[in-house]
Amino acid sequence: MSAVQVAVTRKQLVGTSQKRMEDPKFVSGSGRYIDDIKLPGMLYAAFVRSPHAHARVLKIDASKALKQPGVKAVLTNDELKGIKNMPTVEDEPETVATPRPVLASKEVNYAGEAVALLLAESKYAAEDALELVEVEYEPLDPVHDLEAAMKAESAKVHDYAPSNLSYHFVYENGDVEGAFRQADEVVKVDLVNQRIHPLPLEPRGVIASYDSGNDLLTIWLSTQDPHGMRNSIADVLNVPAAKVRLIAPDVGGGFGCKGSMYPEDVAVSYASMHVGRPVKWVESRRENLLTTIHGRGQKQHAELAVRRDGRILGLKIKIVSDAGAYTTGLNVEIPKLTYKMGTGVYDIGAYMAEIFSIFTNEVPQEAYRGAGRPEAAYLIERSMNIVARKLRLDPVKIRQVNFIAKDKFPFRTPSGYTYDSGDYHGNLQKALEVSSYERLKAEQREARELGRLVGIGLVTWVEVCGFAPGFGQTAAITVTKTGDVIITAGGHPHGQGHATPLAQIVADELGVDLSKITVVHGDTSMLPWSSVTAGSRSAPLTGSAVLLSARKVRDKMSKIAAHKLGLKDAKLAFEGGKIFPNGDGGKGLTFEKVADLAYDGEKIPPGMEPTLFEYTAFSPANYTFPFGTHIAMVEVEKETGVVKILKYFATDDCGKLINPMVVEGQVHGGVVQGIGQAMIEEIVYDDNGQLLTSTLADYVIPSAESLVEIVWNRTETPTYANPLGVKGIGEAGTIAATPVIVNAVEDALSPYDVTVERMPLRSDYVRSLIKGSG
Amino acid sequence: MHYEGSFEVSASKEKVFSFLTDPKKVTTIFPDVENVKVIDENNFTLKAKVGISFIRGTLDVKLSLAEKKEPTYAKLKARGTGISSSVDLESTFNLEDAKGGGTLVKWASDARVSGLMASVGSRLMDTASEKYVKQIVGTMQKKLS
Repeated sequence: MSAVQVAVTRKQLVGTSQKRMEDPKFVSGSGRYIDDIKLPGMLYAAFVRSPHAHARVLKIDASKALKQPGVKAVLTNDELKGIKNMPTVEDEPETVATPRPVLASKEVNYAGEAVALLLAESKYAAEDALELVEVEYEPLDPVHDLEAAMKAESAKVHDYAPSNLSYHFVYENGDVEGAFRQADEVVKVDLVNQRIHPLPLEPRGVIASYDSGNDLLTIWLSTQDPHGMRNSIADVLNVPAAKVRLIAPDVGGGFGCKGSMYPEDVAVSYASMHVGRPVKWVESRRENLLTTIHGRGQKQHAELAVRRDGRILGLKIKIVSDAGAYTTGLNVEIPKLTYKMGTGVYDIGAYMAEIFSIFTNEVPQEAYRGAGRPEAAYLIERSMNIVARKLRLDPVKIRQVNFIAKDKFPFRTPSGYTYDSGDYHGNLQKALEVSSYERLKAEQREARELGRLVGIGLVTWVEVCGFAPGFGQTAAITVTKTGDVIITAGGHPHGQGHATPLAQIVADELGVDLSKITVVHGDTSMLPWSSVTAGSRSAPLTGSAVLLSARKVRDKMSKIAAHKLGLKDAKLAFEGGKIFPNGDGGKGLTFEKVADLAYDGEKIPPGMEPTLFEYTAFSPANYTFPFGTHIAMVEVEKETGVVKILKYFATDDCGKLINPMVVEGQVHGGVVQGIGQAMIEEIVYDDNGQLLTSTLADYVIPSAESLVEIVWNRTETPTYANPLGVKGIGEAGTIAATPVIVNAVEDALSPYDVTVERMPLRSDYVRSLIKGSG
Repeated sequence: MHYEGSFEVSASKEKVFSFLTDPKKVTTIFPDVENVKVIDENNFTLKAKVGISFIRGTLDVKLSLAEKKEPTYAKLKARGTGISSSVDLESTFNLEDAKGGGTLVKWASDARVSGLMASVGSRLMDTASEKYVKQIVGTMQKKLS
């Protein structure tokens, strides 16, 4: 028989909004988080933490604590035998490595740093006995203020470092000096992008259980990166990775802060191996605010060489990043991302960036949703607003004058990225239409005539995501003998809703109903490797690995079905749970029948291996660069400085969409977090390095009462960087929302001609701008 | 945090100095103190009950008379630990003859509070500290008049 016509499966589900498969579990309280797991014989850990921001540790005496009923052990760093320090960077000319024991043994460098681990039969016994561990400290001068820390006479965080400089970097591309010479005007901008907290609803938590018979350590960790943490913990413990299995159960939010290994993860794992019993530790909210990484924390300076018509000829930026107490690696990479994305959506030929990352006696700063790109968007989008005001140009006009044109993609930026695809003019145009921008301006004019301070903010954002190349993601698909489909995803969800879009991809490829598909993830024993779920990588990378695995399954099943049907070289149609030659459903086989055949070595084509399991490690050729336009309308109450958001429009382009409802949900969450930074959130340390925002009464996040409906729309510009054409959307809202709110408030305050230099826009600060202007 | 002030007492400088430098006497000016132990003439320990808002408990305090210039000057250093907190206090007392007789006591205190009390209690710290200092000064005045 001749070759059968290739049939293309009708795409049914990708691109449509499908309800999230995991929601019934979460809304009915049936999720299983670290704290829901209880193992027989489990001990509870608590950590003795430094009250000082900077001090020498002179003596630790646990004798009184050990006499308490229920207390099993107290471990200091001296008792953690044979383990390595926490990871840091290589000592290089531009970076300073910081050797950091798992438990601070000689010096503490931020308030809350762990100095000892206490094990007890119950959580209460552990907490009660903490006070009885006597630690003698010699307080040292804490380093708190970034500018002061950079001066030669400043106290140093680390004696062994030449200064408080953790990392220094200079970059230049194009004729920067020439650009500034040609400029009609040079506009200088100084901004503070404050320290904030990722604040996942579920704090950190870890359970470790050592099986001495099998020499196997099983770790349950609230993490974004099961394989990465398995490898890192094994490395610091000095045990083979093969002897460690790491399981990430349901994770209640990560936002970047659960992408790294923490000292507690190692100490708890060691403790379980040490005492031969399972050990659990779940962070309190105070510990979460005090010891989980913070994000943002940059002082930003920009100088823009501008022509009278608004064209930006050159850009210089200077970033002073607050590294916190240690060089962790990520706190070097994040300010680099700020410089890499520094020119935003604009075609700026001459670019210079300088980064200083500074040690302070505060918790290390790492990735918070967007990680470096919200800071970049903030700096360039605030700068564009300030330039527009100076030149009396409309914020729309100045952006249109400077956009990278549609026909210039792929576009090589001065920092070395290649933007994959974009249509910035088209996206902005749609945003203006859906927000009825001209009507908003008319409303603003009317309000101003009545003396009301109403402002409109506009931001055109771009970010880099889908991190890549060389940093891929994995997935596997199993079709059981019974014809059920299991997607084993390398990417791990912590609220994003991966399962449904991944299942949609497979349902379309294999022509089966969503109900036939189960999505699993988060166990190092399931896949040879997976990489961190961060940087809006799930759709572009995990999604592509799933798609490619599904295509491999489909190819194999096609061959098995063709063999059974006596067809040759066949590629068959997969639809409605059947596999059949194109246009001839009657001769087809059910999906279950072909699955069953696949497990019988005598019923499959000669030379083919039985079973249906296909694995893909997808490593893309390029990053993806989603973009969009956000527009907000706000009102400032003159007498009190209170800011109220009146309207919010998000028009995003994340390439092709798998499930628009899930995309919109990601935008909503991101926008709320971005508004949080603009309006209310701030980590505050006193001059003594003490965290003053250590409860949720002090560290306040937005609630429904301070928000407004987010009107979401989209344009679709596919990427070539992956076979789905998707770009990633997880961080977009966070990136756009912060500058758009500040731009809107600055516009509202335009009668006073003030520049908003810092956040959050609490009423006292806004009122001070109004009062100070006159 | 820095606090300073002055007050007059009817006792002579010598008497005030002797009071300030006698561990058994000087510890009586602190409220809610118990278990005073004298290690030597310049070092002693005690337990002090303290509380800011809902953060209440006992601090183990080590005190030392860091400097003495009889009969005009004394410096007292204290470090208290407990309640997941640490309190460092350095107080100086300058003694001068008061115009109407007795002694003018000029005092200054620098306090550094760390840990739970500093972070959670920060909003109430100033009020609580002021109240505490006033109480100490009041007791001292009473005892030396």
